Amino acid sequence: MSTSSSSSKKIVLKSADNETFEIDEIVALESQAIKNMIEDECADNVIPLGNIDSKTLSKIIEYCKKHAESPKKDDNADIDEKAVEDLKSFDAEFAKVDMPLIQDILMAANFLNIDNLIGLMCRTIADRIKGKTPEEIRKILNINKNDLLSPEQEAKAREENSWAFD
Amino acid sequence: MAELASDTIFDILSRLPVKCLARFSCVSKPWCAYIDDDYFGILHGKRAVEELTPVMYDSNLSRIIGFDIIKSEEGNFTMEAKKGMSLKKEFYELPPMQRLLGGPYYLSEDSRGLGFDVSTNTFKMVCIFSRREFSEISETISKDLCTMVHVLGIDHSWREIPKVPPYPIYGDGIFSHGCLYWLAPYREPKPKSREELICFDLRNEEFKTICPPKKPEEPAFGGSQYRG
Repeated sequence: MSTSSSSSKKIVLKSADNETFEIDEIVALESQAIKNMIEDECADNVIPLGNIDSKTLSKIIEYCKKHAESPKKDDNADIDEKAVEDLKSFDAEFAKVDMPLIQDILMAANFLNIDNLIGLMCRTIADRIKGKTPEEIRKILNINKNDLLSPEQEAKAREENSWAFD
Repeated sequence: MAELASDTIFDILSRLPVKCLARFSCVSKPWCAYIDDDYFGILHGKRAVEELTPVMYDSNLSRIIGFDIIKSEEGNFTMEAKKGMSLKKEFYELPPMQRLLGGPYYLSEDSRGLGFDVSTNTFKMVCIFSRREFSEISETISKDLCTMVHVLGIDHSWREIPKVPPYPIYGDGIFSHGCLYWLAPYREPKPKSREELICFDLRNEEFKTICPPKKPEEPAFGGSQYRG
């Protein structure tokens, strides 16, 4: 992949709510799923993403742009530390969004197969639920009520792990 | 908002400390199943670098157990089960053993190990001592070793078992898959032999020796047997 072709190829992504986003191909290649589509030549000019809304998609594009611009670790052993730090602080800022959006981004990142972004979102969720009680987690992650343990099962699980509740 | 897929939940949970996981097993039925899953133990084990060492994971127990041996002097150990999910006690005090080992011997504790015996659902602590007589400085051989076993929460004292390692081993054993392992130094009478693994099977309380793969040796009599 040439790094500086001025007439770089463009890809158009279309969100579930029919908004279109024109991006450089190199940005789109951050997504392994889109990369595969392009390599298999089954991507038309416009790639419809029927399960991702425009709010989520614009966040994902923001992430991919930044990461496509940054030097990759395996490209070069001695990338300057500033670039690494810069990317780190970008990721930290990027993750400062509300929980529903984080989950939407995570599901979209799964669909588009963007490894780094999946990792970042999982880490973020893990950090946010770390100190929470089971009740709070059910609320935060919108756990289906049908999946809850029976009161007896829950009492047993709490008894077995009582040491973890102090 | 749709629910997260199971592999995503796995990914998130694998980034949490053991104490959180113990609490979160009552979040929902799927979460409980994820946390008890064998695969999860493996995934978590890879990531859980901040956990205590040694951390043992036993698939049959479906629990992660971390221990620190915090005191070891004159045959008295205090073992701290900081994150033991099965051991409810924070501390477990081992019975003294000087009494049992009294005699005209000089005793030195060479190695110890703690593991879980799935056949009896118990933790076993194993200590290996060298027994040397005061008068003569003889080469340490197998019969001068002594192996003591204590089953946590069951035994009131230590018992000596007939099996001993083939030669002295040192340091803490690493527990994995029902056995304790020590990387043994080369055997004293055979200084050129390779490093071996000494393995103690906690179920049948027997020692085994595992040899490393042989290095290709220089052909001494050029492969004449291959000639037609």
